[in-house]
Amino acid sequence: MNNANIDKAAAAKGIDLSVNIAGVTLKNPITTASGTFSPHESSEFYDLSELGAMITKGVASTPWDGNPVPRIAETYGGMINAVGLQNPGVDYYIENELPFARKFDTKIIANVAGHSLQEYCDVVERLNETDVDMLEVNISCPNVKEGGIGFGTNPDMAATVTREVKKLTNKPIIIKLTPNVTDITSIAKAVEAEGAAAVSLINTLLGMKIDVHRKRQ
Amino acid sequence: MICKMIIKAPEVASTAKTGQFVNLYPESKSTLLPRPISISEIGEDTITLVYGVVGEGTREFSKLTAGDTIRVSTPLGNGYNVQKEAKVSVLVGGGIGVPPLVELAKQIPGEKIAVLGFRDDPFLVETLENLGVKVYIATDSGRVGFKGNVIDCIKAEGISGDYFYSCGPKVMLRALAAYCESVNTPVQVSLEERMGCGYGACVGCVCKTKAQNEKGYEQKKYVKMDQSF
Repeated sequence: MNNANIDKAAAAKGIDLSVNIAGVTLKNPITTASGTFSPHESSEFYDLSELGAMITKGVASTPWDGNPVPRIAETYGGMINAVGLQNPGVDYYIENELPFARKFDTKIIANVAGHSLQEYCDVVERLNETDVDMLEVNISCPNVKEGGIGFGTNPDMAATVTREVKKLTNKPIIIKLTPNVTDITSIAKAVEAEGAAAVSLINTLLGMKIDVHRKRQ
Repeated sequence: MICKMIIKAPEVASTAKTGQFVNLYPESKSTLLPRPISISEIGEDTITLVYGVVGEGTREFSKLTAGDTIRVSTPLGNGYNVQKEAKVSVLVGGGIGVPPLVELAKQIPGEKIAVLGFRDDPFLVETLENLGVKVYIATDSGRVGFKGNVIDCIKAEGISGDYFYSCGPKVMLRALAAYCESVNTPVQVSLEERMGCGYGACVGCVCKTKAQNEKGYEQKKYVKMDQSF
């Protein structure tokens, strides 16, 4: 599939929608945020070749079940979620999900999740052998009880993750930051200093909804 | 409050399967998520929904009148696999789980029995009876029909069949599944969970199903599961 509609229409008007991030050219700046999008299901509704890039859901070194249901709750005009990074693991991702995603004319940015520094490294090492265009490291998901929160809220730990995964790949590394910090700029600067090609903002905001009438969360 | 809504939607009606649901989108800016509601009946170019008013979204729907429009999704979920060879089918419904059994009853050949559990006031009983279904009612209070739950009613009345279908609260489905296993009869259960997208992308709704693997289970998305267990 190629010659997606958005780009055709833009080209017809002499508009260049392409963007360059860390040396990777996206034909347009429209991407899907990790955790909100699944190539299989979404491809039933629109041509994924329209996207500049797809950022796939966080994948860990082994399959994760995620949190027990219910995992989502509507709030006034919005929602909160605690999916907990359910994913089938990097092996399944490489064997099944990547080949499907590659059918589309778009860049693939693989999101990496981990409970520990070693797990992040294991996944990056595996993905380095594939043809994904970039990696987005999720150091910030607030729903993972171990590791995840620690890395993203601490400039030193964030820097360590960045430095260690950078050793394992030449692919551009995007670090996805958490908003649940006092000063996000210090985290951003720390990962930039260690060679992060970009930062993506933001991961899930912590929240809780309390029903005062039913006296329940 | 229980409401009935008939939506003229040829594209939905033409592809809907019994046991599927649709996502209905409230207009109010205070809401974000669509409300998943089971399809009770499938017409030539309409679908009929029967739903309970339980919150902001459903309250808004209950105020709609004929001629209004509503945003509705294509049919979602997998629906029931109708077992055409079953001579006697038993449909077990609990409360707001009863509506999808109406279309199911239309599609099942042979003898049909329904065992419906309600807290107090039954609904859709006549609709099912008009489809040739023998209906048993169980209410918690005993105000109408059998006093107790549907499982107790099934046992007390000696109800049996070649195949069971069910829809209702998880605790009822769990008890029914255990009962069906004890009498060696297959059952299909229609599950629900708080949902996000409704089509399998957000992984908001999952259920553990038995599997032959190390963990002994797989985690499947409700909207994508094959209904038969």
